[in-house]
Amino acid sequence: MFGSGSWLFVDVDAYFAQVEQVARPALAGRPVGIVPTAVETTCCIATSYEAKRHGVKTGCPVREARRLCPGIALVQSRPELYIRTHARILEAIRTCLPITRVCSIDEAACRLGANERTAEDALALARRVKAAVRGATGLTCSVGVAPNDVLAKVASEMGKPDGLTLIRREDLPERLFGLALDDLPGIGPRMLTRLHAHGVHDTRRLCSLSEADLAGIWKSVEGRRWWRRLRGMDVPPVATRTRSVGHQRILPPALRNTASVRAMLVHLICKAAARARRKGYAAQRLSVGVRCLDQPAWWASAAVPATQSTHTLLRVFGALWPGAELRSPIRVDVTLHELLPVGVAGEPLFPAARAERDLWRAVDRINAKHGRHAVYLGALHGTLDAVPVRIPFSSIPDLELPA
Amino acid sequence: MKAVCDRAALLDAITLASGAVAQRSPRPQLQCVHLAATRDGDAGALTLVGADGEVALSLSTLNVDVQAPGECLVPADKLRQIVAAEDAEPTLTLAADGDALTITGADARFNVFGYPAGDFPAPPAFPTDAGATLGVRSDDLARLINTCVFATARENSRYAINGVLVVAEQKTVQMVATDGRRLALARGAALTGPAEPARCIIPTKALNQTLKLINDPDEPVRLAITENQAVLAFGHPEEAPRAVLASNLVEGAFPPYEDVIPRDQDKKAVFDTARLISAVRRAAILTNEDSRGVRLALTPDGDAPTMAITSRAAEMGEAEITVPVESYTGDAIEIGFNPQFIIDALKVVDEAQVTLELKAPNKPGLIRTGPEFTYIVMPVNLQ
Repeated sequence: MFGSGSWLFVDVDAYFAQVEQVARPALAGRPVGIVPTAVETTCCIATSYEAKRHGVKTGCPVREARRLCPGIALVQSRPELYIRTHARILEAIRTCLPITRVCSIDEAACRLGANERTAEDALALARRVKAAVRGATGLTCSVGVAPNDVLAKVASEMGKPDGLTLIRREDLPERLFGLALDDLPGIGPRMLTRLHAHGVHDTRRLCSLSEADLAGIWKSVEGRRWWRRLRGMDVPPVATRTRSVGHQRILPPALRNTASVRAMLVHLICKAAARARRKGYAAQRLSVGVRCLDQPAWWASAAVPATQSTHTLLRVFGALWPGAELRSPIRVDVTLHELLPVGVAGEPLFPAARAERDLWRAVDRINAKHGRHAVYLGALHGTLDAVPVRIPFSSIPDLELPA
Repeated sequence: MKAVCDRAALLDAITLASGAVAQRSPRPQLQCVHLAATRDGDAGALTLVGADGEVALSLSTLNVDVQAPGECLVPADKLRQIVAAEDAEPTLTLAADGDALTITGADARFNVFGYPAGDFPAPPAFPTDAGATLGVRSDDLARLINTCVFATARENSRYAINGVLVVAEQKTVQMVATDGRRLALARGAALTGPAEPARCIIPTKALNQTLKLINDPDEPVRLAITENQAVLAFGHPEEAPRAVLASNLVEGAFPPYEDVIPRDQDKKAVFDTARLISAVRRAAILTNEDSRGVRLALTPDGDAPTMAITSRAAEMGEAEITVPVESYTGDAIEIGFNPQFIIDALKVVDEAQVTLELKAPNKPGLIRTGPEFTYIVMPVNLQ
């Protein structure tokens, strides 16, 4: 028995690279690196296990990848394919059990039901999930089963690729002693430095500390949560809500000019506004930014009346836009902040504002029904195809919304 | 220029003039205050001018011993800090030497570097040929501004509602402000007014500055509306004005406010203003940014109508406050409002009683105190 909070965690192996290997049989068994754009200055955003064996890991510059692994196939990412495959993966998992939380493009966490909490039942279910994902997509995944979601994720990492790992409560904490501190999800470089400063260099030491000790190291209640997680207790996630919606793009070389930057920002504002409407929020602040290679970044921000209207946001953007030439722009950012549930924001007083809001809601409905670019602003005509779909990592783009 | 000034009066004048000075500007001269010492027979005066390109303020401080007339231009923040810090001195001597100003007290001497006085824009003057002018008592003007300026849009995205619409006709004046979800309309009497209706949108900053300049309720204030400016002169028309404030007008078309004033509210409740604001404030304690609404439940209940104000915030708690209703006509109704929008309006009401008029939970609410103040506020959805 795992107790009241048993979890199953699914992690697809080397996701982007494996999707490409399945989609293009010629790549099967070959070292593959996924790159965001077809330029030599970029780096691999994902690599296959065959490439990893040559030392080519995520983040490896293209030139270095070619040096380490001369036969590597560098493949430009296809975000839409990954998003569609992601949907099929979720569908496959749901044929076996409900998904509690989609953690990223290639990860999902499922709380086990009351009759699935014996080790045998949980492992049988995990095997069914692996078979369902493989059957639906041709992809292998690693599954972890453990008393809480964080340990289930840790377990899924233990047996990669195509693994199935069980962590029992009675095996804790000894089962974790072989792990490095940063194998625990959520312990990044800064937290690692802090743990080292407190004399914690391995998981055994971390597990030996008291709840109060961990609270002191984390300087928050999060330390107490970690103390519980390490002992197999099921810690409920902290309730959060969306406070901002943002989009960023690295510009392909052909778009690294002022006119394209402006068009891209307009496009991303339309997209962010559609997302805010989809989530039921009104924005109270708009921030835009452009990072350049040959000059300091340009950033601007303005408060807006709580709004769901793309027109209002574009008017504000028009006032913020510097008008001057930007030299070597490379990245654009748009963020809608201070999101307010639309019911709390209240109805607009003036009929014209209500009509504007209703217009954009109608546009959203049309695009949901007839495709995401069925209706779009005239100013974006001819630019939509130039906007690459963002590579999905933790947040998965909605293909019904503007690209 | 050399003048001996009463320190307290000088500090008041600098503080007021600094309100019109640009906080940030590519032109450092606009972060300065312009000083001009003049002498008319035995009477000396020091005139201070601050301007930020949108608003310009000129005000005079009297009882100044002007030993040498002249002018200078010095950074406003440093001048104000020095005059404020010399708090043991009853008087200070200001002496200009080139572009610098020397401020001398009993045991201190400051030499502040400035700019050529000619680099500063011309001081604002009340126009004699304006298209429309009106005269208002200071206390009436203060009431008009106070009861609507809070409702202007704070964001700079909708230019026309970043100011207050002033509509003057003969001896009536009305001011209207909105942020798109509420609207405040104040009416008042004018001493004099234009024969033809005149209207303009004055920026919020200029009106807040106007409030600071009012210190005598009986003092008349004249407002001139030109093609692109509103100019206010404080003081009796037959005398030189004590202060002149000129502001660029807000461009754009003010929304059609008359169309959104409800005319068919069939539920009317009269409240004691102090009790109502207290109840809304207390209910607002248990709201947060995700549940920024309070629910008003009015029940006729025979001779003793009541209103329950409730609030609820997830993981925080809930509140219920009962407010006596002086009189009520209409059926029972429940409606949600942003409590801050209600508090903002009740805070500026002078009258002991206010009337809340409603129609339906998804229709605007209306708060009135006679013909002088009308406030429309959109409801929020508490589902």
